[in-house]
Amino acid sequence: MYEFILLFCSIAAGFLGSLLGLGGGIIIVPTLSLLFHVNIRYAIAASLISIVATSSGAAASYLKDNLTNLRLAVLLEIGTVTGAITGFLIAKKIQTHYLFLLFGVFLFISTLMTLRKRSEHLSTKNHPWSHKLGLASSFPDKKNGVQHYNVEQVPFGLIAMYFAGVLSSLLGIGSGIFKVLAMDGAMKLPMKVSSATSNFMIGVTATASAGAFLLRGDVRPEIAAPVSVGIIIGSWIGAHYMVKIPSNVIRKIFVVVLGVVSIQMIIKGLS
Amino acid sequence: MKTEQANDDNLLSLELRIAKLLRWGVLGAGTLMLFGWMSILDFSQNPLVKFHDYKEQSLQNSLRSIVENHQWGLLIAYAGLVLLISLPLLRVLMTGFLFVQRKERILAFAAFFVFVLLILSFTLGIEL
Repeated sequence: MYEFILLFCSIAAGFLGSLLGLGGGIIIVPTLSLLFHVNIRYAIAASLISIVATSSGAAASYLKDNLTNLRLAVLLEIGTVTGAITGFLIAKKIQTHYLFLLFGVFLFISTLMTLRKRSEHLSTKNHPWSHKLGLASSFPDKKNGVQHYNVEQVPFGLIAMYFAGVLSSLLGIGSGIFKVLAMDGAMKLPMKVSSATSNFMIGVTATASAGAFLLRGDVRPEIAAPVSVGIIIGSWIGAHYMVKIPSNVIRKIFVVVLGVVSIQMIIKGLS
Repeated sequence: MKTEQANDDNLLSLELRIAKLLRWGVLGAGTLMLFGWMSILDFSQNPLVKFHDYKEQSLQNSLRSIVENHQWGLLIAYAGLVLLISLPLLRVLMTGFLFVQRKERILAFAAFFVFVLLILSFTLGIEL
């Protein structure tokens, strides 16, 4: 019975994650730890597995529209994977209540950030590294036919990805919001490109820590299997039916719900 | 600019082929996990109770206990997990070879470096 409730909750988490653009991990960790009272370390490990599954399964759709900057993704993965290794080493030592606190704060910030309005700032400058590695690219655009873009501040992007990797490993999330923020804001990538490139990288980042957690014994199939299968099904439903749902209303409702959950996580961390 | 676009399109179409292969891999891993998980379902108790407290138990010890207790369903679910984890590794490795083929040495090096980092990260999970 409990297994099916967990499967159902994971489907809902995957659905909501894709609806809110947050990913399922950020919803499943509080669900497992607050609702099912699963230790947060097992919850984080299971969440990372589900991120690997959804990202690997969806990689083809991110590439299909020619929006993913593959060269940039490969370069930035150095930052995210190094960060994930650091995150794993911290996670081994950190006490559980700090994980709750960190997660609560992160969830609160992420929830607020889903409400921000992203604006496009295309750059005319190209960073020397971008020039050397051919990172500047273009994508098909309905308005202009083909939209060309440059890439700024590549070293800053690598550092930002390192911290995104630390958070991903420490909290069992994709940390796509921070990746997109760095790529939009600092590297001046077009919004569509930064979202697609971030989504493409998430699986590799999560793999670094998921593999380590698996070998350490923290990934338990009794939790990870229903969570992964549920989130894959939920994200698929979300991606296919997103257009038919008045997402703005639902988004506002769930922003409030996630805000409350984040406060609960903080309270649990402080207690 | 047209050459740059054609160049990128060609790279992405090759990567797309790899990604489509991965999709089948996820399907296979998901099937193994689902099958393994369904075969260990026990409706008489809450199986999540044992995960309320954290107990350190390495994968090696878990597998030993699974084999000793003939819990083949769990073993199948673990096989699904291992398959799933190996997919992004495979993707990074194949991307590296793709860049080698295109003589983009720095990016090939970056992809192989990520591959080595991933292997290194896995070894961190092994308690010596």
